[in-house]
Amino acid sequence: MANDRHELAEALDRYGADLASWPDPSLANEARRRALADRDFRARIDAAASLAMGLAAVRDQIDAEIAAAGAAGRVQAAVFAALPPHRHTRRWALVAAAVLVAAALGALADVTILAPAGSRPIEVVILDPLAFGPAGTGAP
Amino acid sequence: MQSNGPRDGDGIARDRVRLARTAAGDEAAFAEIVAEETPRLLRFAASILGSGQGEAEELVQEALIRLWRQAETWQPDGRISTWLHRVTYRLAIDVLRRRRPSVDIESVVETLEDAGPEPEARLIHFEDAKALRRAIDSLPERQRTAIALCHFQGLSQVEAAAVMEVSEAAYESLLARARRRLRALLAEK
Repeated sequence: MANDRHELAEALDRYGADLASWPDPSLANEARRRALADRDFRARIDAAASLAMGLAAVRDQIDAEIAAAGAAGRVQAAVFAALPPHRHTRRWALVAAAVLVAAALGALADVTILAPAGSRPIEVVILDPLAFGPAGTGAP
Repeated sequence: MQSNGPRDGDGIARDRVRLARTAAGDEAAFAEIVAEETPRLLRFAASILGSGQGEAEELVQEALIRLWRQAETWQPDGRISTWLHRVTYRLAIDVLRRRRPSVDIESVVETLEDAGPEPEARLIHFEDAKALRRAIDSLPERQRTAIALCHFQGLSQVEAAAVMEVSEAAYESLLARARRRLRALLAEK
């Protein structure tokens, strides 16, 4: 066998007990052959598989605790309560504020500056197009 | 914001669309991400911190808010999930350092483990998941994280290495040491 036991044991610790998921198929095949021939190595694979199952049980336990505590819901609520506005949103808010300020200034100017002019009479002359012809081009 | 994660064409494209909607202020798009990632991130944070679920919740909340803040500058060369795991991991490290500001024995422990003999290969029955959990909690932080990323989070070695910001080889080595250490700890019981 090309690979010694130590190398295969190291690969087992790196890549886990599922030999099909090993990145090097030839090394995985070597491990399969070794497992058939070497009881200790087979026991090592079994121990790695057992550890993986135990870790899956721990993962389920953590998930159950998180679910029982309602932690995910709390986090989601807290996140949305604390969301700051995006720069994009802030830009539109600034534009809206500028429009409002401009409108307010315009209204103020109308009241304070243009209102006295409004008191002067404004004469509007309407020329009858039937009498004077269409406005316009100056062409004959 | 650059995600620096492993490449996954379809997933990255989907993430890019969701982040673009989020950046435009679409809270529904962000809610999808939050609903999808929160339980996994809570599990990850809890497994690194060991105890203190309140702290885990704060970390995850902070990571998600950072994603919202940085959605506009997202560089789509990695998955949202990988980025969130990395941020959560960094925040968890900060918490652990605050807990034990002067303790830095992890490298010593890892060196001793590497120098020691291979633990005896034997079948271990894990009828008591709590015993295994105690063993995980006693691992050095980086080994605990390597175990969590692989066995709890289901990340590939490429993704896990990206989260821990180490090479794949370094991650594999950490994971191998963690597995050996766990077997040795359980064999002692």
